[in-house]
Amino acid sequence: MRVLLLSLKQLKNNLGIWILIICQILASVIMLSMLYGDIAILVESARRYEELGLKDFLMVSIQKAADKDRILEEVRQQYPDMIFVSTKAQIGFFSTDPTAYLYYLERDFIENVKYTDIEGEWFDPDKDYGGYIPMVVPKYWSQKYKLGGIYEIDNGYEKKETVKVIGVLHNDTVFLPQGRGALMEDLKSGVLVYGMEQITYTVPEIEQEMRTVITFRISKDSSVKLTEAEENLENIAGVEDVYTAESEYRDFMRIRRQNAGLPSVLCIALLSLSIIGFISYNILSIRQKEKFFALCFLHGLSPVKCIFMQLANDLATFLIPLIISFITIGILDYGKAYGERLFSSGAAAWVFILYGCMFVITSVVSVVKLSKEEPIQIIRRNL
Amino acid sequence: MSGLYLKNVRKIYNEGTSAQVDALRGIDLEVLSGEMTAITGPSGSGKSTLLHILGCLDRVTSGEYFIDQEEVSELGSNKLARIRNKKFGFVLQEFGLLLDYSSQYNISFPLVFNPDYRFKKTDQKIYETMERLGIAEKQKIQTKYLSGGQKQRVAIARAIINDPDIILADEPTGALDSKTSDEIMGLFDELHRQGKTIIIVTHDKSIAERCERQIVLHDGTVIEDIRKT
Repeated sequence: MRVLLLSLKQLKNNLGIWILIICQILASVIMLSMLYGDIAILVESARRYEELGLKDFLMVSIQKAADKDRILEEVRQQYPDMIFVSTKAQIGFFSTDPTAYLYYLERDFIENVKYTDIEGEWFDPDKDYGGYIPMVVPKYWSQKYKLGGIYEIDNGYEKKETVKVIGVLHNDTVFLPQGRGALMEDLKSGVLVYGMEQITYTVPEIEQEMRTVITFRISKDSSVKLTEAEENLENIAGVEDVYTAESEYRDFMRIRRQNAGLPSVLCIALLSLSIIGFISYNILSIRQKEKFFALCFLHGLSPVKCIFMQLANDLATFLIPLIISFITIGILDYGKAYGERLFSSGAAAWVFILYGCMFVITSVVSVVKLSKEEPIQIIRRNL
Repeated sequence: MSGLYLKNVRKIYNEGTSAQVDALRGIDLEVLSGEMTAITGPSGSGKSTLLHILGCLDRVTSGEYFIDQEEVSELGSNKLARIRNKKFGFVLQEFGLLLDYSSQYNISFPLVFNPDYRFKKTDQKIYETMERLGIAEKQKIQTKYLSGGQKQRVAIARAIINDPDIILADEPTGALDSKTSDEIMGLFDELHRQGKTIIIVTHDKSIAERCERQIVLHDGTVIEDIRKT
């Protein structure tokens, strides 16, 4: 330990450079964490889009809810095998939400989309669940939220709500009935949260005058082509817009990719800078420390211990910037300085893999340099 | 008998190549404990090589080397490092100091590598040693701001901080004026009086004459070994 302290005091010579490297590593770790969050959202969204079969969904936006029944009837006439899903439900991708999709569940939905591939039961609108909100979870959640289990959810208000798991689906959606919206698990924190704003209830007369969306789903064996249906349905009177979940998804992915562009470039630039800086700094410091090594040999440090001392020194100079970086990220997350949570174990793992490789390269350089020469040669050259 | 004993020691650099140099050619030498010895000779005579071998910094090509009757020429690098730390103090011509660091930091090296020394007492021990050499007030000052004489005192403080039996000095006055040289030699005299074995490599006749024994090297062999009566 005291040998390491003696060696670390040598940092004083290059303190300015070292502080610069700490700043570079700090900036690159933050950028890497941000980028990792973006990439995780893209990957997760793509995975869920495929697993949920969202490409089969189509939304018809209408100007007045009062026209709903007429428009619904016209759609049914044109496309009899198109499945009506909901008059309130829509599928969307939200730029800040990792789960990025939602369903409003209402009686229509519950009755029209009955999942049969289910353990437990599907919702029954008329059943009393004992004051709990019934929840149907995907299979991948069922280890954590077990069938029959009761859990508290964060609804954004002081009064918490409790849900009861009544069914486990063999796909990836979480359902809550009666217009409560989708429930999601924050991918980073693992906390159950509502993935959308609370629903605003309006008096029926006003609601009839408001815009609304009718959601349809094309069955897998249907011959209906979504693009064609999109064009045709726009011609129905009172229809404002027709769009597919796929187009929403594509837009979402495009925007997320565009948003990730600059952080990617910055991240690569900063990582390269910090890696080059760190390796150069260590090679430079070994050269500058030749006299120090000579004195160490002279006063009783063996070559092997000298190599270990340098490795410990490299490890300390490598770990200190990382510790500073993660403390800073912790502070930023605590203060909610960035919209999303910066820290994630995945990002941390990548940081350690990248900088670990850098440390190994640097250490190899140190070991080769020190083991190549006899101590007496270093003493002769420097003392 | 305690002391250093070299038996038919040879040191060859770049052996078997066209650049082969026979630095020491069969040296037989005994330095008794408590002796103050000067090693002199022209450049290239093997003085520094001999000092490096005596100080366990370099290995002999052939022959035997005993320190206090223990054969050390075949010891591993860890054991030699331990011997260097415990038995020897080194003083160098250009002081061998890290100029951007304090006297205290420079002096601490032998203590840091001494596994038997308690770390907590380092500062106190350094202060006492510096006080003994009259430079206690220079403890925190970077050595680049010290005069040549002060630098060499710091180097001597470092050499004696572990209380070694033997001080090896390579041209310790080579970078100093005559007055300062005299002061530094006074310190070596003092250490000699305290029972330390002092071996000084020097070109300077006046320095050599202050020692009780002079060994003259030429082409890697001892050509003269004079003891004062």
